Amino acid sequence: MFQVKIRIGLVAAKLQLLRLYRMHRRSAANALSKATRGFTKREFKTAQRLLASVPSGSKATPSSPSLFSNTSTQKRQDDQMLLHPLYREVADQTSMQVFESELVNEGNIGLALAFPSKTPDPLRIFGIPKSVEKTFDLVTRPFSVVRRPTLSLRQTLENARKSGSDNRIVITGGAGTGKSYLLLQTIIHCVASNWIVLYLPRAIDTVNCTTPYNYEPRTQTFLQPMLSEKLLRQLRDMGHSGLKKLTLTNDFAIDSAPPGAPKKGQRLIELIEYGILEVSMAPFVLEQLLAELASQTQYPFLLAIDDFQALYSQSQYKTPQFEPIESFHLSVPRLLLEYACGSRKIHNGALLSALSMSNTSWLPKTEIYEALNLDLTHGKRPDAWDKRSEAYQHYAAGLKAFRMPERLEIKEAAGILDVMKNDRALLSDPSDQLFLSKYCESNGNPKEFVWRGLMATLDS
Amino acid sequence: MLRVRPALRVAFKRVPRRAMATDSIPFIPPESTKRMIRGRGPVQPMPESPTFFSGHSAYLDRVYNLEKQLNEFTSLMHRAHITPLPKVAEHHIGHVPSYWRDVNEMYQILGKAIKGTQYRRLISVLTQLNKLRRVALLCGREDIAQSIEKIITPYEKSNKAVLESLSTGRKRPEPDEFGRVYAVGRRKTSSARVWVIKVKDQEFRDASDRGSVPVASCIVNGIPAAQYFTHVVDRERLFRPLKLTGLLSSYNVFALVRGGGTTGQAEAIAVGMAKALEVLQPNVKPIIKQAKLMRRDPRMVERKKTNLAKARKAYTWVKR
Repeated sequence: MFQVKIRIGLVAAKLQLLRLYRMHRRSAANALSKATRGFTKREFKTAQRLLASVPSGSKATPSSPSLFSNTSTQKRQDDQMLLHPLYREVADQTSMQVFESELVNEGNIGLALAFPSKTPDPLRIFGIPKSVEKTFDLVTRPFSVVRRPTLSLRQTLENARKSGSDNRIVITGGAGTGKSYLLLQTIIHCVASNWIVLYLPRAIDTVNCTTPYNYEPRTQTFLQPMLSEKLLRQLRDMGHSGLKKLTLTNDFAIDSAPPGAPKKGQRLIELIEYGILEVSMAPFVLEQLLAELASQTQYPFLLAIDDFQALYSQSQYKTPQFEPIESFHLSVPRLLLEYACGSRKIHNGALLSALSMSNTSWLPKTEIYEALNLDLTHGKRPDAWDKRSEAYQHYAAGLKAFRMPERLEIKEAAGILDVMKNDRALLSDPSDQLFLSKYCESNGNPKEFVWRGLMATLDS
Repeated sequence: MLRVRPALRVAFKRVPRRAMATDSIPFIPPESTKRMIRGRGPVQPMPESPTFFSGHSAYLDRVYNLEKQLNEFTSLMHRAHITPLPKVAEHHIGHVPSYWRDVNEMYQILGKAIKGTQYRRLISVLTQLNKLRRVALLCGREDIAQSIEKIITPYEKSNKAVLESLSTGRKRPEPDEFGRVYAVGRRKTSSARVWVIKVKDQEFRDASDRGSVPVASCIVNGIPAAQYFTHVVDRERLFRPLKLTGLLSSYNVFALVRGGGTTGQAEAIAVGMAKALEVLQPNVKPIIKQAKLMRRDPRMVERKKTNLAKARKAYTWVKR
């Protein structure tokens, strides 16, 4: 059944591509991404793999002849057909610059920059949060706008890294203020600056009972081997040169470990490979790997977590006696919490996390609410009768809040509108009146401005 | 022999009469002998007014009289070249306040109760006379004004002077010492109190900020409007006055709204906002008027009727 579905998806993708190529020669990749917007994720990935060899641009020559037959006759036909301006009005994002660290400065606030797509692409390897994925689907080229918090967070991160101790930052702010996007921007900057980055875009996946778990009597915690292996694989796929240069400072000493365990002096990449091979050892490998990365000072290390509040609540896992498991009793969340509270220190680098208000099942709980001194935009304020867990309070101690502004600046909002205008994503040609009215109606909130402002209106 | 009046008796005496069987004099009431047409018998008494045989004689007499006098004064004003007034002057005069007696008080004047339609007809004539009086006064013809006043004063309330001093007319909102304008808007069962204030001139942070423009913020019941109204349609309705007049960068709005639902509240605020904007910037009045933004939507929930399930919905018809 799965195979049949893939085949059907492939056929449908092929037919669509054929039609598209006939329709418009210019920028096949653009047209493809627009057409595949309605496809499911699986079909999209299949189609993408098909066209992986097709470069974008006017001189595109497809490598697979079965897909594109009779190209010369079609070209002649294309010249005669489709002269109406409606067909010429296509998305044109060629003028958008790619994200570079030098471009992010005070003078460029409001400038839209595309996320770089050169491999290794951290967005493809680690994944992206769900809300960001939805917004990426709106446009042909994923982008973000340079904002004032982008600059200030960069500065804060640099200071935190230098200080060595005060380097646990949490991006806070109401729903839709751009926390996940800011985290993404900072990750891209760090990757470009040769940091070693480990990014968890959906920390909820560590606690929502989607990966296997098993009880380990030695540590008295529940291990998550598949999840740990996935994180190791992602780190390996990032292919940072430091992993090949840095060496282990300790043996991998776990009782009854399968043979092939790396020893002191071996490279980190070998430890990772061992952990991927021996999935049962993956949680311990991850623990040691993070310890090594945190203790070394040669390369800055960024531990980035989105949906941070999910780590500070009871998980959806259950013990065999059907009792709920706290998140600090699971191997991966516990590891992250220990770095968050400072029990495990990152000597050169930082832990950068972002809260998320998108999932109402995982809203910030009492302990994190009070530790970060959140306000009413993060939900109901806890009162004197709410229970406070000492464990979570310990794990939330020492976190530094980075507050997002509630409103976009006018220039930043204008930057977003420009991109959507060039992308022909709006129903009508936007005017100043539309822009200002949508800005006022959404009170400058980025998510509301885009989704319930520009995309949800029939106004002009 | 007929007993007739002495004058006629003298006339008839000349003709000799033969004695008849009906010679005895029939009784004729003396009153009916007063008016008699020769050879035709007694005359029916003429009613004093042509409205005698209608059911509302007194009322109709007065109304006809007033209408006749209205016509007379109108032609008088025409001859004096005061009327017809140019459109500008008519607009300037506007509505003339009046304090007519109500239906019950009119009963005392007319001696008989009148219905609503009749009352309205009377009032309409009086209002026209009142307006003529005002016009005459404005044009300096006090003599005409005084004569009209003599006619219409019996129909005015006795405490007219008191009422005049109390009522200041329809209050037009005015900016207070801080430049705020207060107005009220209503829709269905929602009512909104709206204060509109000009946005402060922004101080630019630095050279890069010069592309920035100030933006209106709207706070409803202490919460930003974007948070209070989650539906896109409600938000659009709310900001419609500012959007159409192009004042999105100019004015902030603070509203306290109560009653009804979200859409009703949004529209109530919009009406109040439009009223305030019209005062703050009179040049936007044509836009507001054309878009009917100041119109208080009169549609309300229709009442349920007897024998119907709801206002219009009927019960299922059953054949048997």
